[in-house]
Amino acid sequence: MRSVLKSYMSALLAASLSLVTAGVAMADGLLDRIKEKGEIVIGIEARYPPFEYVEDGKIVGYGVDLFEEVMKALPDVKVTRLDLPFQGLLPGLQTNKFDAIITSVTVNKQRYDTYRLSLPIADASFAYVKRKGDTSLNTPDDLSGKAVGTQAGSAQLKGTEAFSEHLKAQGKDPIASIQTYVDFNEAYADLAAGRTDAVVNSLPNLLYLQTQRGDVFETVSTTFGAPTYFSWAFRKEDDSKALADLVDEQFRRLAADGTMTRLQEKWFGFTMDLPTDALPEPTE
Amino acid sequence: MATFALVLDNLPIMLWGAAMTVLVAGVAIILGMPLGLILCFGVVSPKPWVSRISRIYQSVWRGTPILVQLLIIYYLLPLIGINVPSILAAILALTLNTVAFQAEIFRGGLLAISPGQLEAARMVGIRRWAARYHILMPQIFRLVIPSLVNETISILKNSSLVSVIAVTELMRVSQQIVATTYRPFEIYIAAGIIYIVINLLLSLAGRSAERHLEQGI
Amino acid sequence: MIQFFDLWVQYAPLMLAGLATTAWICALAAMLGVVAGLALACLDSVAFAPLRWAVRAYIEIMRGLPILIFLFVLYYGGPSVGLRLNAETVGVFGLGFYAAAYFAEIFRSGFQSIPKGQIEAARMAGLSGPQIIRHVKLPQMLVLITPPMINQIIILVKESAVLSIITVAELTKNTTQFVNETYAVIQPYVAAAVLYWLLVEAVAQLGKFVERRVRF
Repeated sequence: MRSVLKSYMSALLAASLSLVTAGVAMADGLLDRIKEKGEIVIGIEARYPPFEYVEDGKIVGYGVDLFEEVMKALPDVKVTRLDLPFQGLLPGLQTNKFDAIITSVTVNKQRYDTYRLSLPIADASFAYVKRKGDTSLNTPDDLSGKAVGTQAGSAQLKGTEAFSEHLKAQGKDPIASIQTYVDFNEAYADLAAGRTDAVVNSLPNLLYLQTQRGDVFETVSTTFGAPTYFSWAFRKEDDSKALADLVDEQFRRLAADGTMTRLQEKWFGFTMDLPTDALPEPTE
Repeated sequence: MATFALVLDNLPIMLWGAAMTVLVAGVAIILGMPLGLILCFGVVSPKPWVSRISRIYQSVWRGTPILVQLLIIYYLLPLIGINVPSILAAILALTLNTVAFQAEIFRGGLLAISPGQLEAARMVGIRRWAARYHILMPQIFRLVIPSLVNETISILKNSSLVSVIAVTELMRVSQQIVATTYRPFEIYIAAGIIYIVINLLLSLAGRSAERHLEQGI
Repeated sequence: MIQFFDLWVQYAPLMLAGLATTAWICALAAMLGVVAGLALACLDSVAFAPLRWAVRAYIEIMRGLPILIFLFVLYYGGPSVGLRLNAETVGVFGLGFYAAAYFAEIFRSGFQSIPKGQIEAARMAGLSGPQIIRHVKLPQMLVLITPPMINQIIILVKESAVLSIITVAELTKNTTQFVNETYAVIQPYVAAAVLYWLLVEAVAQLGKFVERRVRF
């Protein structure tokens, strides 16, 4: 018993020592340190098909393939992925838990102002999904007077609210109620349960949902609101600038040589027109 | 039938997740035992400042949700220069939490043992910590096994929250599967059954430990 | 530094509203849980074996199941079997029936602490089963079971955080909103920790008050 107790204590001591040494000082830019260490740590939320999700225990998707292409510019750097819920991603970036968020971040004004966002990786314009066979919903304007669900704190929520205002400005009834969920999967479950009439999300996600559960859901694929994009996020500091610039530069290369459209064809089944000069500044 | 195939397909990776659940919760519980005992002696210490500090620790860790404790350890410690990897942060948070609860369990056991024993030991010249170690601890352990099993079950279930700091355990694995299959009920019910089986095994192990220790008297 | 506290001032109404929701849902759930738990414990002590097995199965399943899964299935799965309840109702009943399993165990340990001779004596004096529970068992065991009951209510308060998954605007969901809208990390979570701690301390103080009352 005594020796057991002793080994507990030494294990604890070792653990606390490793905590202290982990917080090292930084001199060069983030990109230099990544090259030096031979490792980049990225935060991702692997619950967002077809962008990043888990299949047979491995994280796959459009975003994963795209990042692999980008990392060809840094062949000696190993990628370490941390998978965590979206609510943890942006705080984790701020607190240096990882070097970048390489997961689909829907661009909105607040995020544009807070983070250094990459060039768009995909079109994120909003559309909605309804229960299969619901004939009362066929166009975006049909959301007037309906109960709509979406993710709490998301750009999609802001977009839905803005669209409701837009309906009101047109003299129509606004959206009757907007229910928010911790995650889109709960929003879909509640749509199937009949508490809401539609779920607003970005079109690529909804099209994927339909390929998996076409028996229950039907996507109304007319997008509404201002054009919106998905980006990856970096810290808005000089330290992160070189890394973010490198990623943008690689995007331009991949767009020019056709790799990006090839990946879009592979994961979405259609291609998108994306700006490659700069990320358009969002209005809301 | 489709449901069965879906669950069967995903069972291997769910069991992987379950292994992580058992690892994180198990290490926390085992680390928590000696620390919980120490805190317990701190709470009942005759020195007012020792018992005051021990009680504040207990009140804080028992009074705040584990989710908040996890987030604070994982996201706030880096701000003061301590960077903890996910699994270590999860184990650390669950350990610090269970210590507060285990101390209370041990205190209950301590109260049930007659104080005369310790006095007698002191009288014949056995030092305080030696007396605690050789005389009190074996008795306390026997008394508190049911409560310890309860606490282990509770930590095991609460470990479903550690996914918020990037530890991929059973709950997170289930959520990942739901995200691609959009079949929450089948997967969550399967996960629920795995949790129930693990906890039933724990209950059984606790009962057999109780019987063994009773025979040992 | 001023900005640091500004956020707290700005978000105080939201956080306090969340606290209020957490408090009333937990209060109702605790009451429901105590009543249902007592009923379960009484059923557990009857002679009819299948009923006892059913009670044991209920208790073991509830104790082994993460409450997140229970609430998810109840809320999102309920409508498919005709059980269409709003989120707060599911919150109260879900938490209540979940806690009932734990309360039942506490009541059972209380019942067991009453010497058999007393119950026999009461039976001989002509008291019925329910009368024995009401007049002989309950008054004596209150002293013993008050501390673990309070403990269980504290656990209930903290576990209520998972109600955020079924859209209840309680303290944790509102904290998430605070984080998502401000991108601040420290202020929301520290505020949440303090508010939960206050609620739990209030329950603990209430417990101490009750403990003093039942002792004499």
